[in-house]
Amino acid sequence: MNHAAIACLRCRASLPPTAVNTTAPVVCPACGVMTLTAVFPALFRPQAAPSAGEPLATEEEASCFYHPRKKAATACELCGRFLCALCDVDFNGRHLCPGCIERGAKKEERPTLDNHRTLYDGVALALADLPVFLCLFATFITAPMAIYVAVRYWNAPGSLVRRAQKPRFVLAILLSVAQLVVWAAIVARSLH
Amino acid sequence: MTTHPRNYKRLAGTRGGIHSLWLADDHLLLLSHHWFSEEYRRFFFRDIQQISVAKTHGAMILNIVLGLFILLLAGAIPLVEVWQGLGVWIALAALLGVFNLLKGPSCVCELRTAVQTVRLKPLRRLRRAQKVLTRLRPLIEAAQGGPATSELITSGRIAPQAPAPAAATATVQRPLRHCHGRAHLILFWLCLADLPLTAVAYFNDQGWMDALGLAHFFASVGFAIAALVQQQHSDLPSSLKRIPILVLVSDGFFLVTGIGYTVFLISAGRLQPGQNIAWQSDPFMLAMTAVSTSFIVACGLAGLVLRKKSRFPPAAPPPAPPSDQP
Repeated sequence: MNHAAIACLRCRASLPPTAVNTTAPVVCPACGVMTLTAVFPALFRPQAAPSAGEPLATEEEASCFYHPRKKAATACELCGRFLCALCDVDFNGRHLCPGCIERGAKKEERPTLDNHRTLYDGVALALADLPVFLCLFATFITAPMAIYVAVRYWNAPGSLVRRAQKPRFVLAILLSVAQLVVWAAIVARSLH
Repeated sequence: MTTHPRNYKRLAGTRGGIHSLWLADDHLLLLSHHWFSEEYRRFFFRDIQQISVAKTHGAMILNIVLGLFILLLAGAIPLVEVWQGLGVWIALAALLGVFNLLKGPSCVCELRTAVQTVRLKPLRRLRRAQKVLTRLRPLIEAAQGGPATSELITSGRIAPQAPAPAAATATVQRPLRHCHGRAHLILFWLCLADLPLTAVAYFNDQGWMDALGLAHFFASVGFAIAALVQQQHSDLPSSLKRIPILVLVSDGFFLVTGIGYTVFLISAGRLQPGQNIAWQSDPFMLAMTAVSTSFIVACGLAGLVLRKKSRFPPAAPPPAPPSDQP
C-alpha cells in the first residue's frame, strides 16, 4: 500500500493524519473542500494470498471432493464434503463448498446471497390500478392478470426491506374483482 | 446470517426512492429500486475499509439557479397584466430553495472494501452522511476489533506527526484533473452567436426572435455554469477559467439593468405593464445591447483563442547540449 491510499474524495491528494477519523468534517488542506474520512482496521489487514491447495503427499491422506489430487483442508459445514484450500469458501464466517453456495442461491435459501428480487406485489397492484387511470377498457384484460399474479406469487419472497407485501396482493385482488364485477354488470345489461 | 426484513433499519434514502441505504445486524444494504424489482449490494462490517465523504457544490448551484429563476420571474411581473401565475411559480421555486437550504450542503460518499469502491448514492447531504457515519463507526469498529487510530500511525501509511500548522499543510500538492473544456467551447460559440442573433433581431422585430434570444440567454448561462463546474481542479489555464465567470457576471449585470430600466419606465408612465420595450428605438436599451453584445462576443473570441493556445502549447526549446565541464 502506498502513502496516498487515504486520499481526499474530491482532489485525490493524500490526507494528513489530522484529517482522518475525525468526528466532524474537516477542510482538505489541498483543495479546501470539507471532507469526512473514516478508516477502519480492515484497511491495514494484510491480504491473504490465494491458495491453490496443497497436493497429496501420500495416498492415505484425505483429499478434496472436487480435486482428488489435493489435500483436504476443511469440510463443508452444510454437506460435509472435504474441501481443499481452493474450494473452501469463507461465507460469512462459515466454511462452505461452491456447490452448496450455488444451490443456496438458486433456491433462495440464503438471503445473504440474494442480490435481486422481483416485486410481484407491485406488479399486481400496477396491473390492478394503472389501467383505471390510463385506459379503462384495458381493465377487461389486466384485472384477471392482476389476480393471476397475486395468486401465483402469493408466497414468493418479496422485498428484503419492505414488509407490506400481502396487503398489497389483497388490495390488487379486491380492485381487480371490483373491476370484473363492473364488467360483468355491463355485459349482463347489454345482453338484456 | 439471515436477516429478516424487519431487522433492516433505513439509514438514508426514501422508501419509494431509487436508492436507499439500510442497516442490518452485520452489514449495510445498498438498495437500488427499478420499477418492479430491487437490486441489493451488501457490505459486511468486517470488510469495510474506508468511508469518505466530501462536500460538493450541487446544493449551492441549485440555489443559484433557483435564485436566477426567481429574479427573472420577479422582473417579468411588471410586464404582465395577470401576475398571479408568475407568483405561483415564484412561490414554488422559493419553497424548493428553502427546502434545499434546510437539507444543508450536498456531498458525495464512497465506501471502500478490499475489492471495490462504491458510491453511496443515498448519502447526498453532508449532514445526513455525518449522522450515518457516526452511527456506523462503532458498529464497524466493533466488528473489526476496535478503532484504527493506532494502526494508522504504526502502519506507516500516514506518517506519525504532530498537528501541522496551516502553512505546512497547505503545501500538499494536489493532482490536477485533465479537462477537455467542451462546455467552454460550446459557451464560446454561443457567445459568438450573440452577434448574428442581435443583428437579425435589430432588423427583424418578430416574436420568435425574442424567444430565440431568451433560449440563447439560458443556454449561455447553463453552459457557463457547466464550464465553472468542469474547470474546478482542472489543468485549464487560469485565463481561460475566468471567461465563464465574466460571461455570467455580464449576463447577470445586463439582466438586472434591463429589469431595473423596465421598472423605471413603467413607474415613469412611459411604458404600460404587459408592453414590451422596443429596444431598437430606445437609445438606452440600444446602447446597452451594443455594449453587452460587444463584450460577450469579445469573451467568445478570447476564449476560443485561449483554448486553442492551451491545447497546442508552443513547442519547447530543444534541450541544451551537455557541457564538458563538471
